[in-house]
Amino acid sequence: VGESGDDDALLVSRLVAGDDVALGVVYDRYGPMIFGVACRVTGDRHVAGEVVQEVVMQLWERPDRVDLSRGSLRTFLAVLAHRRSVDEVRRAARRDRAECRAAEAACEAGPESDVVDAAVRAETSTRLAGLLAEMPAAQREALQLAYFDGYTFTGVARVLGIPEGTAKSRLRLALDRLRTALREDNGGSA
Amino acid sequence: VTPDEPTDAELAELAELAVLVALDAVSEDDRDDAERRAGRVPRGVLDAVTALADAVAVVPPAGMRTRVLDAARERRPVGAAVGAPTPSSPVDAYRHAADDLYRLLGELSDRDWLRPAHSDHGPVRDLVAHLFGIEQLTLDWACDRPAPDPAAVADHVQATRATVTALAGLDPGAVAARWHSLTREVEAAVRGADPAQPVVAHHIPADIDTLTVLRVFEIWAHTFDICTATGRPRPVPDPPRLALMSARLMRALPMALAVRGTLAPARTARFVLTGDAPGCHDVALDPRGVPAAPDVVIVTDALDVCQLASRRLTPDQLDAFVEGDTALADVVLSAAATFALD
Repeated sequence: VGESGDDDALLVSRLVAGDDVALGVVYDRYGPMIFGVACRVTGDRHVAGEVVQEVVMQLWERPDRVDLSRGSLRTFLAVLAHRRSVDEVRRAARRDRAECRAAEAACEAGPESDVVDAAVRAETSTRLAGLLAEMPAAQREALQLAYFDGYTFTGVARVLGIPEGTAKSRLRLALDRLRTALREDNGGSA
Repeated sequence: VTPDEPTDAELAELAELAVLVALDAVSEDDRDDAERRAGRVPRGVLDAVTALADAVAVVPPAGMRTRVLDAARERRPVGAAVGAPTPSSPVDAYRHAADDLYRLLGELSDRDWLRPAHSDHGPVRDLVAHLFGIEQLTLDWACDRPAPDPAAVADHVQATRATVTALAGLDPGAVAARWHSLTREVEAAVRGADPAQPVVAHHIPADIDTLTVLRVFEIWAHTFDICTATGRPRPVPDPPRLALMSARLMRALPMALAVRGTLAPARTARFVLTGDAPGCHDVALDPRGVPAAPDVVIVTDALDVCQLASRRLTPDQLDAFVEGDTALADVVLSAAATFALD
């Protein structure tokens, strides 16, 4: 099943109606992204599992909160997963991600994996790694700290020893660069 | 730049804030304020953040799927639609259906009354006369009175031929008024009766409750006919009425399959109804069966499926998403209009 605006609208309608088959489709399609973000940000596979459960339950309980005029279902879940993960990190002040990173690297495709999806994800990941590599190091560092390590912009400024205003502008420039690159990759349609 | 328009510096600051919000790079305490000030985060910014999330996707451990989905189902049961209206009672739905049609009839021009509305019942005026005749019969059935012409009653169209002829000389507005007044009598009779009271309508055994729901369907179907004949948009029942109609249709499907001789023992169809009356109904395709894991999922609009059941739409015309056993879906959808009488 492809992913499109219509597809998202259909899925959300099914969730509103109370169709748990649709919830299974959502899990299969977006679970790896939610788990990956949570794992990467929290550094704890157990906590990441809780984030997945929380995100999926939130969608199931209030699917009417998905506003597809603002972004796709994938975006809604990506934003939600990241926010929940960041909240976990900040509340528990977890900073040791070594265990998760190791586990993540060792993670093998289980019975729920989808070979095609995995290939697409690998391609996306590689492409993104290339885009990040082309980014000025100062911007990349700031983006890494904010998105993957869960720092606020004041935290980014503190860690990098730069003024808060500089941290903010580095983050904006980093995301602008990424956004432009993705748009060019997608033939200017993004 | 007028005093009300943001300066370039202010716009740049807002763009920066949108990025911080999208990256969750503001503290929890400042988040609400930042979101309010930033407004709608541009789609491109969200796409970029989504790409970051996608790039770190990891297959979750085996077992998590079952655990997460079970927990979700425990929090909100399957089929409990979000924001679904409470279904009307059949008698309230009947009253509102009659009022809606009467309101429409009050808007018709002299030419509209003469427009062909139905292949069996003819122009709009005769269609309303037919409804008057059916309401008379309904009152007899509800009050357990013998029909004046028992032979003709078996056929829904023939049953009102004499009435339509008798009313042909009257002003159509007067026929409409008499029909609406009669619906009030039917309503009073239904309200005073036990919903489970057996009735025999067109020689078909039923009960007051079912008879009332059938009346709701027919009045809506003929409202549809008149709207179509006079170039008006499809009439849309209020959500509680639509919820009643669609839920009763789902309940009637196993019997419809039995009547058609197309039962599918041990099979289950899931209807996911969208629109103004959302709902998820697992239907055992055998009146003696119980719903199990669905063999087919049919996603369609609640109003469309009611239109299908009223024979105002064919299965081919139904805009539905089908997942699973599509042949089974064809069988089920073909049975949906079994009880439509026209």
